[in-house]
Amino acid sequence: MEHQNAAPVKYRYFNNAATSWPKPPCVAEAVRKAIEELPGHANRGGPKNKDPMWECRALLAERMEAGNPSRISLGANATYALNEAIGGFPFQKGDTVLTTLAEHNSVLRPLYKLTKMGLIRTVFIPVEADGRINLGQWWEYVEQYRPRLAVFSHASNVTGAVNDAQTLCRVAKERGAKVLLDASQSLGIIPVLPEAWGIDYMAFTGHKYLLGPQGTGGLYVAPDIRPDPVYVGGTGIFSDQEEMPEEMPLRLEAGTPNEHSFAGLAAALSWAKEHPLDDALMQERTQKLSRRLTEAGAEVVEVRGERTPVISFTLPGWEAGDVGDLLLDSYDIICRTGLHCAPKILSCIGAPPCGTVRVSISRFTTEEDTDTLVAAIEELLHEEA
Amino acid sequence: MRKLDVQKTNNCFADAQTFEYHLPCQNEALLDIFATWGELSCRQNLRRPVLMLTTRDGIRAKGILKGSVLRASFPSGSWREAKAVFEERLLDALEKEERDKP
Repeated sequence: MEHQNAAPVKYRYFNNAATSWPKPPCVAEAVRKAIEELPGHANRGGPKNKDPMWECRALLAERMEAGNPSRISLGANATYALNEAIGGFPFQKGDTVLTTLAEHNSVLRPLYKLTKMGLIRTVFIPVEADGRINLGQWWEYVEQYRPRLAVFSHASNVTGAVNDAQTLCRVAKERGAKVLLDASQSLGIIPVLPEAWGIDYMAFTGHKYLLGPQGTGGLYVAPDIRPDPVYVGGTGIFSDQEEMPEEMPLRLEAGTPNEHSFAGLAAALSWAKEHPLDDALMQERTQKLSRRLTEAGAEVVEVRGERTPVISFTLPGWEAGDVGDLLLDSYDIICRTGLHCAPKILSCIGAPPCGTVRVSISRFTTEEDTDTLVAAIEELLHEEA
Repeated sequence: MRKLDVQKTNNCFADAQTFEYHLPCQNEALLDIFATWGELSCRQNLRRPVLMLTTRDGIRAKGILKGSVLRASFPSGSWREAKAVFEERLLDALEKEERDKP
């Protein structure tokens, strides 16, 4: 990125599905404060009246209406949580895992690894042209393959289509599967209720729609599940035992936590409580932007029904990567292009091998931002070379 | 010794061979030379106008006209040879540009 003068650049940020920006101002303040002040004890000495990890856990439990905050282990990100859930699952040789072609590499790669080890068989179900799982097809696959574990994302990170997680979970569990939900793209932007829906494991991240800092995430584990930890090590207490402690969340929290970032996430969660998101308004704004991009000439992946504020498109005559480069270099617009770490979905949504351009808005995206984006797309498409 | 300031850039595709060249001049100073290398187009109506070049041997390059970064993508199969030839030509072009300066 380069500019010809020293004036500060006003970026137009459309990459919230990667990481949200800006954050509420209280987030940076909370992180700064947590670094400057005495650290919390994290079971390792220090002031007992301060535990940002617990504060964060309690706010997350409230947000997802989970009865017991202890069932939420905190870690580096959703990938870490997915590895904990998949790597620690009590598979027996030959077990089947059912997942979808819409999944992110954070789901796919742990499954590939276990498949290559010969431990599991992974069955992929296609998704519809908008990235959503077809309920009837899901039922058929569950019936046919009788998976031990079913893994799916709540919302596609490529198209924004939201799956009916409650029904998908019920269908899988009725046939004896455990369910792992990847809520990376949904928690914070739409209701996510793992306990009410009967989800067994749910991975989430703190830095996307929860508006917290990067390096925060976690795994919800249902009360009847005894997870087997992948990562083991110091927990500060029960140090005379050779095994990780039985109790949650300690069982899945080896090592010193990223306390200052979780202080930031706690601040973001408190802020969101005070400033509830207008879900319907976000849906409307996303649909409006989708329409405007279509009118400008973009070939937009059309999503009907519930969605997150994510839009994927291609431009006739352009490779996605070139569009992203030009939007950034020429217009200071930040978006994401390519495969979006979900390479298998392209065949389902009819995207070219070079992938799509993805724009993702947040509650902080302004009309001026979207006007700039649409104007840029129009200029890219209608310019005379 | 002739040397270019070049950095590899990565993207979604493991076999992508894209490099960024940080030039000592603006890209637009090299337009006449680029025009002889293949198909050159200048997108003047963009907020910061850009050049896009596809050379006869399939190298794709682009950059802001008034900027000094040129991003070039090489064909994956023969990228090393194509890159070496491209860099020699680019060095020649930069030398010529320097010589021809008023």
